Amino acid sequence: MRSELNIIRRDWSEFNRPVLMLTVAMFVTVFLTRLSPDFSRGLLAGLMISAGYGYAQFCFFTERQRRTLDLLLSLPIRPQNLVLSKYASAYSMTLFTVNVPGVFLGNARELFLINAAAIFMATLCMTPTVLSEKPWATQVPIWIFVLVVFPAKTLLAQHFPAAYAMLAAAGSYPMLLATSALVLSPMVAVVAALAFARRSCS
Amino acid sequence: MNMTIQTRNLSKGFDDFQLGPLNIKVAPGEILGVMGPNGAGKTTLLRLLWGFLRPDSGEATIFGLQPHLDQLKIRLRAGYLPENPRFYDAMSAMSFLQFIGNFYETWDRDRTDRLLAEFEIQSDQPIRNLSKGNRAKLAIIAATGHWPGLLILDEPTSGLDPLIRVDILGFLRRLAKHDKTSIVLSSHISDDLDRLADTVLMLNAGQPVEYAPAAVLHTKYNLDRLEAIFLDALGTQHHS
Repeated sequence: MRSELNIIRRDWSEFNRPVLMLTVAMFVTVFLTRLSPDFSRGLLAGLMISAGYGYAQFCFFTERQRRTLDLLLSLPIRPQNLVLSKYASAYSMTLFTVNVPGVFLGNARELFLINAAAIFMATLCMTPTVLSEKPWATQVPIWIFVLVVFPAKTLLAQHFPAAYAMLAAAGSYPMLLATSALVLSPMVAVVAALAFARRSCS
Repeated sequence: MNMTIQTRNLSKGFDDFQLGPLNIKVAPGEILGVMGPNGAGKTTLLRLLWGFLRPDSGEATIFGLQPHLDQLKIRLRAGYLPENPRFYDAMSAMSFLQFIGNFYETWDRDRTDRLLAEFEIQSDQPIRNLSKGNRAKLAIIAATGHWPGLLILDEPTSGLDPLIRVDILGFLRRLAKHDKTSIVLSSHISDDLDRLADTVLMLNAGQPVEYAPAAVLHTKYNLDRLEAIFLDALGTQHHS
């Protein structure tokens, strides 16, 4: 546990400035919700995506890019524990960014949904960088949303109305979706960590 | 005697490259120099010993453990320096060593402080401001702060000026003689191995050309320098 905490502590000490900046932006957005709820919701979603994407970049991609991942891999820590520490770093940064300003929303349900979405987003952005060395790996989930999910929604609505209705119905159970996302996220992290460990000694 | 490293028919292949089979032994306090041209398999051997690679056949044991299966146990007792060591450039040398030290229970901060002073490294400076030589020294301190019983070094003096090389080689010699640290050192600068190696493994295209104590090689070939011995051995191999 000592080595894992050491990695998380180092990540925080290196990236505390961007984490604080995103948290301040989140604070401003939360206070804007009192003035213009619809506009701020969009802004909140944007910040969540930025946080998930940014923290995945900071915690793993930069290590790959500057080759310090090789340094970490040569230290006495199991590769899967190293990856899980990186997920823990990204999650702790995400939870800080979301919850410190989020408590001022005064709405526990909404805060839970935001937490779930942010953690899921962080997992989605982090996993491709863990599994692939390609520089564009972190962008994969964003491009999937832009190129697949959004057009698929329109296509489903036009050509498969029954499937679209099912999707819309699932959307009316946000708590269930959020809980599933929260359960799924650590599972994805563990699978990615094991796959990484398998590849790191070939 | 308990060997620090022992390999039995160790081999590893890639697409068009085959290392081994290799049978080597390294005793406590012994310095094994691995030499050969680029692509000879030096780094592959060291990566096998550090558990980054899994052997295709045969086995390697370090402190009686297999590197790819017992990475953690071995790494707590050994140190590794890759060919191009990486650092967190914004960190100071001191905080970098503190970060590395937190991975080891046996980390000796007094020793690393002493070495920083001995090597004249400005410990409060960001690593990005250190010279190449000082970065190499810092990497060696980071690999030795936990009193390792084995040190694996991949081209540690590559690209360094002669004075810094002398400092580093002297330190390694002291480690082996006084602390009984076994050292495996790869280098294409045979001058370093002339000064340091007790035993030499010469590799070419993944195959061992010679493996013997340096003194035996000098007598056998009647030559002073390992580079000359290597070329002579290669020539002999070609002719036979």
